[in-house]
Amino acid sequence: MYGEKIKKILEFKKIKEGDAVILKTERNEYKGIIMPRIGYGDKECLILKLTNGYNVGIEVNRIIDIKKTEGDIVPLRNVSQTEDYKIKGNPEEEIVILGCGGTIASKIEYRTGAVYPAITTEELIQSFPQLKEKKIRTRMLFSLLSENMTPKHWTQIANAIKEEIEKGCKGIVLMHGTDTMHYTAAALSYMIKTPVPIVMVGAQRSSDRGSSDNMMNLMSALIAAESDIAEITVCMHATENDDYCYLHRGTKVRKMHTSRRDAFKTINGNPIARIYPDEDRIEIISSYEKRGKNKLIVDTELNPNVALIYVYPGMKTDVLDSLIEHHEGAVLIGTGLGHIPTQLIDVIKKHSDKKPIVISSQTINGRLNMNVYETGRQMQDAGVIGHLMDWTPEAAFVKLMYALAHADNLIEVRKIMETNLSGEITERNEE
Amino acid sequence: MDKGIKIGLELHQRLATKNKLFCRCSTKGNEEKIKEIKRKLHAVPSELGQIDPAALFESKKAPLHKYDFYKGTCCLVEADDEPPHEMNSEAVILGLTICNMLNAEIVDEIHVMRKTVIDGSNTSGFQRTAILGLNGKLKYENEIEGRKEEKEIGIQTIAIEEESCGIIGEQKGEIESFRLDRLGIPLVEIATTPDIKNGREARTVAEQIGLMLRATGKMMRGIGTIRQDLNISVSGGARVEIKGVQDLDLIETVVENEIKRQTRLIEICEKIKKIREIRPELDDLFENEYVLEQCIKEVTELFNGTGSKLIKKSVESGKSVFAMKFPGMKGIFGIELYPDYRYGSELSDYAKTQGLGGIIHSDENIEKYNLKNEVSEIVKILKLEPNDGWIVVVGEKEQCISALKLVFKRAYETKVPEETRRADLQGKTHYMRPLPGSARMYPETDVAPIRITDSMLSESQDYPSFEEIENRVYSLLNREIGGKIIRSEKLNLFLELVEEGINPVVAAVTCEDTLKSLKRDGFEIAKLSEEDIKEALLLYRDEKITKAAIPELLKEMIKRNGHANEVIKDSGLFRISGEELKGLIIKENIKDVQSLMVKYRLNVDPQEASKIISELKK
Repeated sequence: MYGEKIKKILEFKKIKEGDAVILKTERNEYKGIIMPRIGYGDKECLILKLTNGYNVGIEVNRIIDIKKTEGDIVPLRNVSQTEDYKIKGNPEEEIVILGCGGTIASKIEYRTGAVYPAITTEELIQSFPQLKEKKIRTRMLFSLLSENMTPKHWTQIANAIKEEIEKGCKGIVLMHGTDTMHYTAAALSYMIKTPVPIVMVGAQRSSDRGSSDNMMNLMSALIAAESDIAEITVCMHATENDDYCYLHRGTKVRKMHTSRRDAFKTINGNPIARIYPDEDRIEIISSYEKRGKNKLIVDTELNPNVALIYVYPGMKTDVLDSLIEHHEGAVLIGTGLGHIPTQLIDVIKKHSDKKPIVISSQTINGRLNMNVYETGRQMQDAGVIGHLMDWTPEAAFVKLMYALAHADNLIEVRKIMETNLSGEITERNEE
Repeated sequence: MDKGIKIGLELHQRLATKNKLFCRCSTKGNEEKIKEIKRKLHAVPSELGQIDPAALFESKKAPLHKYDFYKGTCCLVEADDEPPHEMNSEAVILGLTICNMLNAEIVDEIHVMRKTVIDGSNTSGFQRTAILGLNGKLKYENEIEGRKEEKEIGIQTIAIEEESCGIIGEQKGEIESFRLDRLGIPLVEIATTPDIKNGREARTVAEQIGLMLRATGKMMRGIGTIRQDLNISVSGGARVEIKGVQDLDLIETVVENEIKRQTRLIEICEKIKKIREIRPELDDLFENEYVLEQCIKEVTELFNGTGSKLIKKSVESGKSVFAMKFPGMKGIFGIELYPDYRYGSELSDYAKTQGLGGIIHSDENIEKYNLKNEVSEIVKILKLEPNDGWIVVVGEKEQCISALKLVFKRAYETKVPEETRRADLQGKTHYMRPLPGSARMYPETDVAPIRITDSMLSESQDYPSFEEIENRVYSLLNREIGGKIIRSEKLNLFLELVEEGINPVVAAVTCEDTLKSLKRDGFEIAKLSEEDIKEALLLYRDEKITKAAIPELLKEMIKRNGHANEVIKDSGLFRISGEELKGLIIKENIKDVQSLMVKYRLNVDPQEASKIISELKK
C-alpha cells in the first residue's frame, strides 16, 4: 500500500493501480503503468512500470504532473475462489490432486510479482501442461503458507483424503508448503491407514521460474501415486540435480535446509524409493506397505495442547515450568543423547506424574539413550519418555498429540508413544 | 541514403567489483572445479497463459544443462539453491557514478526485475536486472567526410544486471555445459536511443561509451568483459537485435550487412507475396502441421553410394536424408543478401537451430556437391515444376522434420521477421531465436527495493574526470601515440604499467602497435592476458630482455601458451649485457655496433653496445 501523499494524488487524478499514465518530473516525462506497492520499500515512492518492462520507483515530491493516458490499461488480477472439481471417468483410475497452498501450487502475477494460489484445475494445468496427459481430478482445500497451518488443518486434510478414497481413486497427491510439510506428513501418518498411496509434494523454487523444481517433483509424485507404495510419503528432489526424487516415509522425513532443492531428508533410515520422472521409473530402496493391504481407517482425533520446547544452556527453570504448566504434554528437544541441564530435571519431576514429558534430540540424527550419562539416568527416574527412540522432534510432537487423544492415562500414553505406529521408530540403524 | 534506418546500441561492461552482484562470491577466477550440477529449465507460461516465444523456443531446444561449480567464485546463489542476497552496494554506487557521467536522471528507488532467459545461461531461468538511471546523454565527436562534428546521443537507460554463465560446450545439442563462476558478476548495461544512422556512428558511440567507462578505472578488462548488442531496423523491415559484437572493428560491418540484409529481405518478401497469391494452397500448409509434414519426403535410399563424401559419411553412420518441395522458390534461395550470404544461408541458420549442419538448396552449385544424379531423382520424387525449388537436409529424422518445417515457414514469410541474431567474427549475423516479447520481465521479489539516499549520491559523485586522465597521458606521451592510448581498451593497463616503472613509450607501443601487428601476422593475441603483457614488460624493466625482444617474447608466449617467466628460460631471448656483453664483443672481435646487431639484434641493447665498443676502442 502506498503512503498518504501518493494515495491523495492518485485519488485526485482518478488514477488506479494498473492505469497507464504519463508522469512528469522536472527533467523528463515518463510513460508507464502504475504498479501496486507490495511488501517492502518506501511507501512514498510511486512504482512505475516503464514501457520496456522495467519498474522504477519515483519519489512523490519529484512528481510535477501525472495524468492518465490512453493505452495499455492492465487489469490486475482478481483471485476468484471458484472450485473446479469433477470426476470425469472411472474414479478408480484417477489420481486426486489436493491443494493446500505453498510454493508448488502458487502462480505469479507477472506484472506485480505478487504470488497467489492456483485455484482451479485449469490454472494447475496451465502451470503443469503435462497434467493434460494424466488421469487426474483436482480439489483445492485451502491455500495457506505452511507456517500458518494448525492441527485443525491436518484434520481437514485427513477428512478430505478419506472422502476421496471412499469415492475411489488410484492415489492421492497432496500439494503442500514445504516449511511444515513434515509435521503434516507425520500427522497424516498417525491418523490414516491407507489402501492407496498418499504422496505429499512441494517445491523449493517458485513456479514462475524456468528452474522451478515443481514440475519434476509433481511428476515424480504422480508416479508414486500410481505405484504400489500405500503409505503417507513425501516426494521431493533427492539431489541438487534434476535427475531423481526421493520418496520419504511421512514420519521419518524432515526439512533440513532453508533453500536447497534437496532440503528433505529421511532421518535415521533410508527413503522408500528413488523416482526417475523422465524414465517413468521407480526404484525401491526400503520395504513398504503394499497397495490394498490396509483397509481405509481415518481417525483424526488429536489433542493439540502439546508444547515443543527447545532446551538450551542456561535455560531458566521457571520458563520451562511455565511452558509445561500451560500444556497437557511436552516434547523437549534436548542435547546429545537426549539430555537437559540438570537444574531442569526437578521441573520435569514436578509435572511428570500428571503430564507426559517426551524427549528428542537437537542432533536430529541418531538414537536417544538415557543410560549412558548420569543426567540421562536422572531424567529416566524423573519419568521422561523416549529412551532408545530415534524419532524426529516433530514426529514425536505430533505423536504426543495423537497419544493424548487416544489414552485415558499416563501409562497408556507412554505405551502408545513407545509403540511404533507408522514407521516413526526404527529399532536398527545401519548408518 | 536514409532508408528510415534506426540503430540503437546496447553496451554491456563487466564491473570490477570485489564481489558478485547478489552474493558474496569473488568475481575473480579460480580454476578449481569442485562439482557439477545438472539442471533442466522449462518454459513458464505468463499470467495470460502465454509462453514467451523466445523462451519456448529455447526450452524445446536444450533439455539438460550441465554447470561447473568452482571454488571461491560459486555458491548456492549461483546454483539457484539459495535466494539472492542484497544487491552489491559497490556495484550500485558505480552504477550511479555512470549515471552521473551520462547526465541521466537517477531513479529514487531501484527495483530489481527478472528477465526470463531459459537458454540455460542463467540457472534460475531469468537474469536479474535493474534500472538506475534514465534519459541521459552523451556528447561525442563524429567524423563525416573528414569533417569533425559535435554530436549528442540520447541514453535511454542505465541498468545494473548480472552476467550470465560462460558457455563451455555443446554435445549433440543435448547437454550444454556452462561455467558458474561468471554468473552473477555485475554488468552495467547502457542503452542508447535508436538515433544512430549508420555503422560508423554506431562504432564511434560504442567507442566513446567504452572510453568513458574505462575512465572510472573500475571496469573489468580483458576478452569478453565488454560487448555490444545492436538494435537495427530499416523502414519496412523489422527490429532485429544483434547480440555479442565483441570487437569494435566489427560494428560497422555488422550494421552495414544488416541494413543490406533487411533491404534485400523486403524485396524478397514482395516476391514471396506474389508466389503466395498465385498459390493459395501454401496458406494451408501454414495452418496445418500435419499437411506440412506430408510434404517432407525421406530420400535416404537415393544416397546409398552417393558421390557426395559428406552425405555418404552421414548416411553410413545411420543418418537420414529428407527433401522438401518449395513451390515457386527457384532462384530466390540464391539471392545474395550481402556478400557471401544468401537467402539460402538465412534459411540454413534456421535449420542449424535444430541441430543440423545446414541445408542444401536448389540454387546451389550441385556439381560442387557431386549430386547431379540424386538431384534429378529428387526432382522426380517431389514432382517439381520448373519454377519450384527444393531443400535437402541430413540428420536424425526428428531433427530433419522439425528443421524443414521451421525453414518452410521462414522461407514463405511475407514480412521481415523480428529476430534475435548473433554476430560472428566476420561480421555476419545468424538467427538465434525470435525476439523476446514483453511477457519477459517481472519483479524480483526476493530482493527488497533500494532507496537511493543522499549519501549514496554524494559517494557516486567521486569519479575522475576524463580531462584529468587525458592530461596525465599527454604528460607521458606525444599527441600521436597518446591519442591512441586514450582511445584504447588498454588505457588502464597502460596507466598501471607506467605505475610499475615501465617506460611509457615502450608500454604504449606494446599495448597498441605491437599487439596490432601481432594480430595482423595471425597471432592469437586473445591468449595474452593483461597479466601476461605486464609480466613480459617487467622483464624489460628489469633489463632481462631488450626492447627488440618484447614482440618476440610475446609471440613465443602465444605459441606455447605460457607465462613470460617460463617462456623466457629456453627462448634464447635473455639480454646479454655488462661483462658478458663485453666478453662477447672481445671474443668475436666486433668493431662496430651494426655488425653486432645483425647477429644479436634481440639480445643486445645497441646503446650499451656502442658504449662498450667505444670504451674498448679507447
